[in-house]
Amino acid sequence: MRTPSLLLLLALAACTDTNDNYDPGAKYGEFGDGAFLYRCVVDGDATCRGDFDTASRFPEALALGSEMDLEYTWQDDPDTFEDDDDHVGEPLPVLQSAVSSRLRFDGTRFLALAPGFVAVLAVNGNSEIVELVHFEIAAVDEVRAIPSPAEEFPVALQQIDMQTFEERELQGLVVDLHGRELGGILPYSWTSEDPGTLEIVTGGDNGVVRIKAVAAGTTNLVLTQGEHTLTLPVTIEVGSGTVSESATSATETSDPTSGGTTSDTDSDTGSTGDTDTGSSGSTGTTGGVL
Amino acid sequence: MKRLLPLFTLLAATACQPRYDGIELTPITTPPVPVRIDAEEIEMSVGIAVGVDVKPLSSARFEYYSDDPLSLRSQDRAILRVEPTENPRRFVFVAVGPGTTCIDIEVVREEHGCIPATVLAAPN
Repeated sequence: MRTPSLLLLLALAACTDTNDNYDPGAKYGEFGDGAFLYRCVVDGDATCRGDFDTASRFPEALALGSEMDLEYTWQDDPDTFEDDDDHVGEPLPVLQSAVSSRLRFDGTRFLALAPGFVAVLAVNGNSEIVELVHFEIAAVDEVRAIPSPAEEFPVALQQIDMQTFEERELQGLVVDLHGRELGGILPYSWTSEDPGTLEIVTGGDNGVVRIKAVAAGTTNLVLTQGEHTLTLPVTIEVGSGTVSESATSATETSDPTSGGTTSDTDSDTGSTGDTDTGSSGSTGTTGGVL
Repeated sequence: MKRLLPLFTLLAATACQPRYDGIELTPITTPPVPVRIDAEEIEMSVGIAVGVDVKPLSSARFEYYSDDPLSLRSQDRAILRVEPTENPRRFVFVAVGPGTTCIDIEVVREEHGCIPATVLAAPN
């Protein structure tokens, strides 16, 4: 009588077996022949955490107005996610957008132009489609800041507490209406409302800013992405004078769907231009590729 | 009797060939939004691409050979593109722009009408 239960247990175990070769950084093609990888080509890209050539986790959706650099790799065996060498010696296919008014390929990168789903086609030298995959493009709803280097499950910062002379790095990122972190290269702009208290050290050409507490006091750090703005209150107390790399003293939200004080014009155009914050503080403009 | 020989030959040759009786379309990929793809109608949303296996059907005793030429051609590629794959019986339907068009069917160099296709503006 115990045997059927054991068999059932074994069958369930077989069904729940995970495949060690599955790569969360790959978006697998729908024919089962290839995989698409998100290339990390810009320092500070929020999708690329860590020092890797490709993202360790493929984004669920792309931010409207963002850019993406894709890499194709053969992945012939859909069961093992391994290349079964069927395509040895073949040149890699050319990647094309199914609808260029939604996702335009400029020869180097894909630019997300309109929200919705769009297919990317892998085309061989005979103009035959050898693989396809769909991407979702979603409008940015909110901009957030997280400590950098980011943890696996980062929590959005609501305010920052620092000590004088302390330096810290922050990462900007965007989420959609459902709180999903969106992928894609976007320009960010960081501003200190009082550079005499909080200084922008670096953050010139990527989504990561390095700030330094110059003097005791309070001010705001303003992060802008397109039409969206995040204002983070910063409190600086007199410290020991040592430089700290820690970001753990920043106050984080327990609810990752909210962070700091956010505002936007609600236009959701995915504009990638910089926004004039009207501040006379120091500014670090990041991105600039769009 | 001699006059009837060519006729018999023709009849015999015809009897040994498949007789077109429609096509069967089988989607082999699952797009993120629903589509309708069959021999009667194609309905897709802009931006979606679907891999489709196509099989010509025969009402005769003889089926089509796998290497019998088969082509599908969109009458308006600005609405729906039909692209080839490495498998001659597999195509990719790509919904490009909203509108209606028709997909021409050609099997062994004979035209067999078209399948009406509608591409809907994408749901956001």
